[in-house]
Amino acid sequence: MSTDGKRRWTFLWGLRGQRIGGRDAFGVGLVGAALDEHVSAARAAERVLGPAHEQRWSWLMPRRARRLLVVAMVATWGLVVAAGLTPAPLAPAFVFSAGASFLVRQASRQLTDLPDRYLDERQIGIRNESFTIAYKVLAGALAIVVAGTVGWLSAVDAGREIALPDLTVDARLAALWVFLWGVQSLPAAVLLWREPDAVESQERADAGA
Amino acid sequence: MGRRPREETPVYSRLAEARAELADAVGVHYQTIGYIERGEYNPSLSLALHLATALDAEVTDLFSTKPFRRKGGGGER
Repeated sequence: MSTDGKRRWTFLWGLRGQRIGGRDAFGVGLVGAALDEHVSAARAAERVLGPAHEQRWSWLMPRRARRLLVVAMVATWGLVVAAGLTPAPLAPAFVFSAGASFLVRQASRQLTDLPDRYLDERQIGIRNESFTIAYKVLAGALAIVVAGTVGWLSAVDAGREIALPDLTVDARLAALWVFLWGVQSLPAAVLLWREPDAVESQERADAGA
Repeated sequence: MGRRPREETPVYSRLAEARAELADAVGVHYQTIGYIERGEYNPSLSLALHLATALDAEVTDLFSTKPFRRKGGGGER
């Protein structure tokens, strides 16, 4: 049984315990779910932090490739917005965007997702720096949106007739998509952009040259 | 018969193994050792002490505020 399956099972077991009034069963179910989460994180850490992951995704590891990937991911967000604002279908843009986010996740070794206990002091440091910078970027973006909204409300209050743009369902979906993936992927993107090349990557390249 | 896989090049393998052994000994990721070697990461005092212990050396043999001189009287690094 997969770890996800186990987690679902223990969670349902906890719910069942609650429904029949068995507090102990519910408690055991929650402990089981927490243990499953622990095991799941351990497996992810083992998979992404080892040298096999670096070899498998070696084409994404050089800094130049990582930066290109970040640019490509941001470009896919633009593609999603463009598809949302035009009659073009959204699905292909979603696929490109999700694919780019997946690659960013692999290239960043999920350092922005793993619990501290699987990271060393350098990894925790760069992860924290990445979150700090991503926070500032997002805060700046949100400040622009809030300033625009306040400006629009002020103009309407002053009696000017400014109609809201006619946002279709696709446009709203696209905005939601970009916001959610932006929040999720920005720290990893910052990390990929800033981290220098690993010594191992350079040595491997030198050895193969 | 094509080119030998890069990862199997002997020099790279020996360096990678040594780095991985040291990383295991002090409880950090193997890439972190590489960043410290290259001077791109300054370890905490605790990690520096662990590295010195693992390498059977003094901390001052490994880290200095002044650039080390290369062996054989060459330039500084």
